Amino acid sequence: MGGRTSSSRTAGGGRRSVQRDRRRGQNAGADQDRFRLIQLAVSLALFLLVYIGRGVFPAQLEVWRCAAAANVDFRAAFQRFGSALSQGEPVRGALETLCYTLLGGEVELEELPSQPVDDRPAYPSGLLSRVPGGGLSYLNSHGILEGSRTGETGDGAQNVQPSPSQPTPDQEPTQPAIETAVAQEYTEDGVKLPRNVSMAFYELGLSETVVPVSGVATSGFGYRDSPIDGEIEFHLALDIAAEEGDEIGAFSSGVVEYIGESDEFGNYLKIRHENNVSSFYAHCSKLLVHKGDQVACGQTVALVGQTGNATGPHLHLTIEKDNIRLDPAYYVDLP
Amino acid sequence: MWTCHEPPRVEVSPGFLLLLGILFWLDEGVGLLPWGLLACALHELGHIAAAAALKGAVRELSLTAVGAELRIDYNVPLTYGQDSLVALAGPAANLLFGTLALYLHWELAAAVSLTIGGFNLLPIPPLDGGRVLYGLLALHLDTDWAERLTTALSGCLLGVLAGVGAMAAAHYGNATLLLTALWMLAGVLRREGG
Repeated sequence: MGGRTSSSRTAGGGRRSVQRDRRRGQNAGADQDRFRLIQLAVSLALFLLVYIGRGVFPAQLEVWRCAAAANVDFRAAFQRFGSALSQGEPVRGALETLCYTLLGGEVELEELPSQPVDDRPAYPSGLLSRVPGGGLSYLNSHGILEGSRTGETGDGAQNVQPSPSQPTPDQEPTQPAIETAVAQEYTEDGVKLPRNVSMAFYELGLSETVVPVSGVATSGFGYRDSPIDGEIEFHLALDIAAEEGDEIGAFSSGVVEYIGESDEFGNYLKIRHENNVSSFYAHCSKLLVHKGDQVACGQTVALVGQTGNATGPHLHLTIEKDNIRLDPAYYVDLP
Repeated sequence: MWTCHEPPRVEVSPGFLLLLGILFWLDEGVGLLPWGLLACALHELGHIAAAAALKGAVRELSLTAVGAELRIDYNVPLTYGQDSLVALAGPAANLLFGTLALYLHWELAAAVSLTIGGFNLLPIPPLDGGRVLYGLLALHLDTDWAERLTTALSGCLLGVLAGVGAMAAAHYGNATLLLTALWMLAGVLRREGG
């Protein structure tokens, strides 16, 4: 996308355009008309190819589209650039980040997440600006953010990777039977579900779990009218309304997989537990742990807030097993 | 302000419609295109306003696959400095809008507008930066040499961009920069070919 302007008959261009006019005068207008007709025909053919193609082989077209865009989230890249500028970050760093993202640097991220991150500040508002070499670290956290965001819209399977150090159910025969969670395509009533979602109950096999924050469930797992734009969306989490600043306890013991900040989720974090189970906490006012921290069951990891797209202070809690999102209401007993 | 006795001729090439179609398709579910078009429109308005201030009359606006082209008639030929000013007015309009948008916290609009303004400052002839470069060189050298130098410099830059673009395409599978470089090359060739 880009605007481009040139104007002839200015000081420098004057001579050239006179020549051009003379040349044009010599060739009859018929040549130009023919050229234009060919141009129009080619454009029309290409347009029809894409337009009809969308109906006949949408999958193929989608592949081309992804190839052209190379899975770069342009919107997020520009959004990030804008917020960096508006928060007064150095223009050069922000620009580097933008260029790097647009070049597709994000793709490389998937190889990076296991870097040690202890030197990072814990609080995401400063995460991006305070880390030296902001480009990579932003992209790193951004890539993770993407993972969770695309995951929320249901097509992020490739972004969400199980941590290799996790014991798989097979290696722990002493545990009670733990099935691998499988995505459901439809609910029992035949309603289509997003990808990587199951309405079924699976045994998590965790030795101990707690209710992260007690409060009233204001929005459950499933389709709902979005409180932000009123459109129907699949809510992949359980919303628990609580007071701003209430402590959020870790659902179970585990390791902080990532922390971050986004327009959608505000301050968020994800904890990886045993058996490939993970929990995701969003809209926090404050995060109290770093990436890679070991947390105990019930340990305070963040404070309730309304950062991101939220209409009031609440905890947005997602529970995943084997990268399939499950209904948190099965695992969280609210009064 | 400027007095426009006859309305400017507006020419839309099929290639422009195709480009718009492709961008619209790529933009599906992204939502950057409206901001991009707004920034481009403001950019052109910046040029037109500067030209009007120098008593130029817009004769023709042609929208082609390689961008928008304004044909402006002036009563008196512009000096190189004035020409550069008109060229800079477009990016300046983007900068102005970008700053305003930042102030209003329209971060996305600001980022897109500033990016488009900055992109147009690349010293490659059909872009505003190329015109400024040519204008600066022409102040000190004769026009033939200024033209040759501009072409050589922009050729080098385009070569580097295309090279980095090809590497990015091979390494990350991202053809964005490569396509952009080729698009700019098309603009250069179109200009050279008249």
